[in-house]
Amino acid sequence: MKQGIRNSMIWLHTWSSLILGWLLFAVFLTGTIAYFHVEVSHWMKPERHASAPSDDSLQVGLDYLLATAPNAKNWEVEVPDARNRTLGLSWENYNEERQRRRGPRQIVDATTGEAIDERETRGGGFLYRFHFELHHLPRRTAFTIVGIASMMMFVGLITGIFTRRKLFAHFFTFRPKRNLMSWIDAHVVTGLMALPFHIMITLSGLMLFANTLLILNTDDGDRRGRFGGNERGEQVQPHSTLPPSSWTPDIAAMRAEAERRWQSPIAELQIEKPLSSEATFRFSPQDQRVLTAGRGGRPEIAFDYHGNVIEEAPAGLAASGIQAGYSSLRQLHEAHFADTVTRWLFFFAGVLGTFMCASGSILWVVKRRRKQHGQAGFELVNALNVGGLAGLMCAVGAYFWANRLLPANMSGRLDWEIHVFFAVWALCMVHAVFFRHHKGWVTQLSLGGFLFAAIPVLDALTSPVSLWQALMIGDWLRLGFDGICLLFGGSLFVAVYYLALKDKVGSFSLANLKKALAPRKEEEACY
Amino acid sequence: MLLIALALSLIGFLYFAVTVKKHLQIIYGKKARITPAQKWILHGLGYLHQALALYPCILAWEYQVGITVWVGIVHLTGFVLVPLLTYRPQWFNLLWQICMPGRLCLALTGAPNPALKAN
Repeated sequence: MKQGIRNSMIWLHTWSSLILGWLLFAVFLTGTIAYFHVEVSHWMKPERHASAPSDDSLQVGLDYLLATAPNAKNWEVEVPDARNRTLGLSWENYNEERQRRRGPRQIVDATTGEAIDERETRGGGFLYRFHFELHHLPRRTAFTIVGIASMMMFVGLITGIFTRRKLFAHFFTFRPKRNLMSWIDAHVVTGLMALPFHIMITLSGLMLFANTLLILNTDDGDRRGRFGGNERGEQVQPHSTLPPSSWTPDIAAMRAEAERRWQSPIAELQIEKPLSSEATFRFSPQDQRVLTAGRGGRPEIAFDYHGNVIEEAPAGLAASGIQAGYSSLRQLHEAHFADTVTRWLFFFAGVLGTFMCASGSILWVVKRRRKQHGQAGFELVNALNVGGLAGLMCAVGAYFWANRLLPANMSGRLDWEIHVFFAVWALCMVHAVFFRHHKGWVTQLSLGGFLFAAIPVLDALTSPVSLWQALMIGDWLRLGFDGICLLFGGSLFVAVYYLALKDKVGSFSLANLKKALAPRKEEEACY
Repeated sequence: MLLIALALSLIGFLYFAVTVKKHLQIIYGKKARITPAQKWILHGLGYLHQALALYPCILAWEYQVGITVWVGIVHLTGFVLVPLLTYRPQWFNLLWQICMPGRLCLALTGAPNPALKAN
């Protein structure tokens, strides 16, 4: 009986995961990159690269606002932090239509105080959006598709646990050079090791989709008034302002006080009624230590013009247990709270998840290649594997290349970057239909490897700031991106090496590559 | 704090790994066996170390984020051990030298491979 349950679990695991495996891989891959989508955007906007944050950055931002918007109703300065090296400035004028809050109104160089005129790009935001709403599809449809895929993933995870008889024995086991065994081990290890993460990310993903997936639900989640009330039509009298020379609040002291209380650098300063003696200064910190309250998990502190604390709000508390549960899962999924270390840990777990999806699809093929070679279904999975796994990696690489190679002031640039992404993916898919086996893998992995490994070179050639200068000004966001791309490209080349360049005895020669690419007999053609 | 947590968690996983026959034999030779009781003790020590790794995380990140970081660290150290066991078993052997309580407990409750001691 026990055996029966295990077999049925294996069956369910195999087929539920296979159907949408490639979509899951795409979601995992882009979602993992999306942990760093702000950093990716930084890389994709070379105009920002010269900006070097310093202790004076806040003052630089205030000077800019003073010159640009002296009569504004309020000012907002986002100071550079671990994820941003530029100043993000926003302001709201009296009797002006409320801006939709989609990031700051002006990005400013944190050293020189000059406005940065960025190229048009969706940056890391595209990959982030793609991982849950895809592209070229109506939002709701995409939500439903990704939601179903997440459900399949959840089924796959639960059934996956039951396919193993001894959990501990498989925990640390990897047996190399045994083809099917090695793939199974790799799949099991990446799956089991990061199981808590996989369950968390799938469950919270499902929960974020809950509004779409519950079909009888009438609240589609789009109509929530996220951006505050509409104040249009209401005429407000501007406040009286002092001349800039006599407006001298001690902002540095307020900042020091706020940072002393939180033991964390500040992230943001909002000033109501700037340039008046009734001004209020509201700070919020970078670090977030409370997850249950959602985005309200950061404390706030407000000062008046003379530097007295007028309001101090601790990190919010959840209204109820349900809300606490929802907020923590949501926060864990989106990881807005994460500092650098935490973010890397999330990223690492995401990489394991991505690899788990990929190895799952591959081992399906490896397991069946002797028996089913040539059958339509088997060949379809093969083609989808090459195009869906290797092809997508090429597409992501091409997206980064397009970002740097398309002219910066080209019209419709934003769309063209995305067109390149899909065009390369489509080409890889077509290529994969014709070269489903060994040759397809070798070609596409080499292409992907090249696209990623050469990114540091591309970066050095197409950014106004050289890599050496970047090191000098400590631009680790950019150098980190280059480093990870190099590493990833390198690992794709290692895969190519194992597939094509290594012969049976393990020696390495370029002649093997020729052999690998030469037409083979049907029987051998698979891997 | 991060390093302390990483080290504690890695030691915890060493205890789990050593209860698997294959990895036990890396250290104590081909004929090594452990009794179920010893296995439970080693697992217990493993869980204890994982739990201890939580403490520095909470010190550095407070409760809610601390637990998150701890889970992330457990993922990382567990995964690091896999290539280590496959490709560098001698390092595993070296690392086992620092797991004093575990070695002590094995020595007290009967060595896993008596034949090895005689030599």
